[in-house]
Amino acid sequence: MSKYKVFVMRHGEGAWTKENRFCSWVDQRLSEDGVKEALACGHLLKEAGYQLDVVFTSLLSRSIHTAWLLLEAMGQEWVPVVRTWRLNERHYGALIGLNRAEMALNHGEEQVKQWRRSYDLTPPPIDESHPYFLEIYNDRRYSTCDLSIEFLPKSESLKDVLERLQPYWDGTIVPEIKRGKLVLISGHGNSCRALLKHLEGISDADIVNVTLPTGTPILIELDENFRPTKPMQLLGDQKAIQAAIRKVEDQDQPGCQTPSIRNIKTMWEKGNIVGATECPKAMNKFSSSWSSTSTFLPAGLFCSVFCFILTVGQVLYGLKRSLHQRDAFNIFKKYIPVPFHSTPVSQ
Amino acid sequence: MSKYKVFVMRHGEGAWTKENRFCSWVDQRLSEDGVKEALACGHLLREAGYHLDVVFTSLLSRSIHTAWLLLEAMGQEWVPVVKSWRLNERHYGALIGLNRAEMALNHGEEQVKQWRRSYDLTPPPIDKSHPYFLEIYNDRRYSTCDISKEDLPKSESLKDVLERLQPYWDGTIVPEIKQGKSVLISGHGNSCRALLKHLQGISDADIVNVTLPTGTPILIELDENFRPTKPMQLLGDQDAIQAAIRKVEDQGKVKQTP
Repeated sequence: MSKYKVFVMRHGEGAWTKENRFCSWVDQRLSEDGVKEALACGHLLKEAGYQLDVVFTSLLSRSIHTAWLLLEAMGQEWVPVVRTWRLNERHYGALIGLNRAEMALNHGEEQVKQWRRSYDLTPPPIDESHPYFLEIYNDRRYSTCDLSIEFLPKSESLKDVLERLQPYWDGTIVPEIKRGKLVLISGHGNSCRALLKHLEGISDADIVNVTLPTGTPILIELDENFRPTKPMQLLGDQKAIQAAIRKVEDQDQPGCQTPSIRNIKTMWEKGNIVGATECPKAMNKFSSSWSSTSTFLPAGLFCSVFCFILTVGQVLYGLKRSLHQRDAFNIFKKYIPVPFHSTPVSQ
Repeated sequence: MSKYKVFVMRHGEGAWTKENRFCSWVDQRLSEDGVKEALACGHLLREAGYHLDVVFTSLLSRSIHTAWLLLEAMGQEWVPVVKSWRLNERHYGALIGLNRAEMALNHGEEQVKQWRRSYDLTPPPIDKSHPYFLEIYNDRRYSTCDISKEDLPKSESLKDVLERLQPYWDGTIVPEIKQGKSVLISGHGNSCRALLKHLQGISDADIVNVTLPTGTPILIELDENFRPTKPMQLLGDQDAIQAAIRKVEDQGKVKQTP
């Protein structure tokens, strides 16, 4: 039985999202699409009849604007909005401001993936030679924190994010929830992931595969001990949510995408995503057609069969995203070497 | 010698301003011009190099939006915004939602001016038959106040406004100023007038004639005893400010038919 509800939300698209640059602590604004996402969230919550009591944001304007737009759409601008650096996006250190594709070319996709998706790997720290160092550390907002500016991070792993976020969750947010307040946290990709890891008990290994769509309210229901009573729910149009998840995944790799289903599967297992029941039937259909063609291997038909395999592979690429049963997928892995693999895509 | 500075600002034009209706506690939004005024204030303060530390607003969205837009224009969205009913616009009771010109035609310009500008004259109270009663008192925000909803005003004079505002000024805003924080109050016409009367020591008779322009930051400089060290300063283009003051004054007058 749920005693408490809390909303967590990753802000909408920012100005650097399209450029695929690590924004982190640089105070970029929401893009036009990001503004629309925030307003849409507000309308969604309003239509669902939710009445917020307090909203928490980071010190970054894209998080604050998301909160303001959401409250405006709900007609609840009077709700208190409380800001803290402890909800800031993960500090990406020396990688801040760099284009993800360029990083992958310079350091290798694998290294970038490690930095971005590992739980406790910290990127190289930012230093005074970094083009954005002064813009960040000379900003007056960081003189108002509950830590002096010298102790603020210069780089963080996801683990570091949780370590600086959790005291705020425990000491400031939880007391509000316990008083019966309906709380919404307008956060960032990694600060939301860190919090969800803590609340949902996601392991260090599995958090790597969790992708959060932008501009989608996530409802978490908790018992009196603040343990989840059910999987977290992504509210809104489920197809749009799937598209939003894919969009975030596609940001990681330049050129052709090699999707992973594990993160989506996690969301299916943990979330409230419809559409999964359609997939096994489709997979079974292709499985039977493959086994019937495998008997046709004369040399003169080799090219036709090869083209057929590629065509099937392309179709399955699209179906794979809605795959539910892992076993059926593993059968296909044996026969189709490209483009499927089980390595999670970095976010 | 000034020890403290505080900014007081009346929000920009609201949706009902052009219709000349008493808006009061009805939660009307800023008009497009009101949005521009708020952004212009923000740019003005930014160019003058001011840094804010905390902004106080009422519970009404036009006051809050003004603060948000101002902070956005200054690039200081991270500054805390604290909201209180005690900074709400004066409660105009039964006159809420009525057109000022019609009121002037029905009751006379002088009566309307008295209700609007006297210090201690209270309009007739709002009651359940009023078209905006439920919209105001069923609103959840008024269940979050520091007094119970039943004790919230049903009509106010300017004196009543100061009586409910002053404890907030003394107990919440002044401590922030004493800590060296640069404070901006995004208020309303009458809540700003009440506060300025208190800070500037304006008499009951003289406050009747004080008109505040919309969307203009007013800088008040105070000594260590919170007494003003100089006259309040309206920041910005002075011709535009004078025109804004005249615009507000003209709202109370009966329209002349040619």
